[in-house]
Amino acid sequence: MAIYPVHGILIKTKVGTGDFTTLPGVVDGDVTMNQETIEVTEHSGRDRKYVQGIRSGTASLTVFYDQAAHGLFEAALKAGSEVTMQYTWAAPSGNTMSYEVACLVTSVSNKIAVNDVIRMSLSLQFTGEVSLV
Amino acid sequence: MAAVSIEQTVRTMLTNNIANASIADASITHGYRLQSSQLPALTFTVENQSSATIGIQRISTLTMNIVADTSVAALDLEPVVRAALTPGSYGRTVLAIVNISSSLSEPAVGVGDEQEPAQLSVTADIYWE
Repeated sequence: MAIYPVHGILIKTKVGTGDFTTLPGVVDGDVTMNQETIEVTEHSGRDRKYVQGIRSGTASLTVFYDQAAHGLFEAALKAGSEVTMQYTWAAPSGNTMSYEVACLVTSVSNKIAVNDVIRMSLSLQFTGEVSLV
Repeated sequence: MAAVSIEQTVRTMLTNNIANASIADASITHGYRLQSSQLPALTFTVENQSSATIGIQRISTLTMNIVADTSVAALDLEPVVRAALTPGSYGRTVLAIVNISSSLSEPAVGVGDEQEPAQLSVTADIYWE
């Protein structure tokens, strides 16, 4: 198996039909895919059974705030428009794997503290199927 | 061509932004100064080049020592040094400088009761790439 350093991850964004561009200044983040399940255990059954339900996903990011680079999230939140995110794991071998999904921006939070730089926290809700590229 | 070091970048920032009349370029040195060198002088060190993002941005701790004949002379140079801590392109790009603090050490008495120079230490966190 491979172990991927975080340093090799690229997070890219695009709005509309534009090209993907690498999101700079990412401090941390997470990407979560969820799968709901529906119970279908028979009345006489002794073991619970489930089938696949609805999938969903969320992501969050913390970035060093640069309006020129990250203002697209503020604009998307105000407009209610989608931002397409691409998370790419780049292996030293050159192989890559990406998640690609359209998202709605559900939260934008600028954190300020004395003697520190401005950080922006973003919350994203997946709005469709995640493509594993 | 090898990338410019952060130490060279900091020195360029300091020499570009501090007038010779305040502190001579030759007196801005990395790590140490010769005992016989002209005062006032400014020495600096850069520590902890750690990643600040998953990209190429890094954070380091910058420590500077203003060495002057008297406490007053050292204190007079503190705003000059603070003003020199300006983001920009100096070989590497200095993105932000925050958490700037300073501390004055009074002139110590030497072995022969002579007055040794006063030192004012200025530290800062520096984001660069």
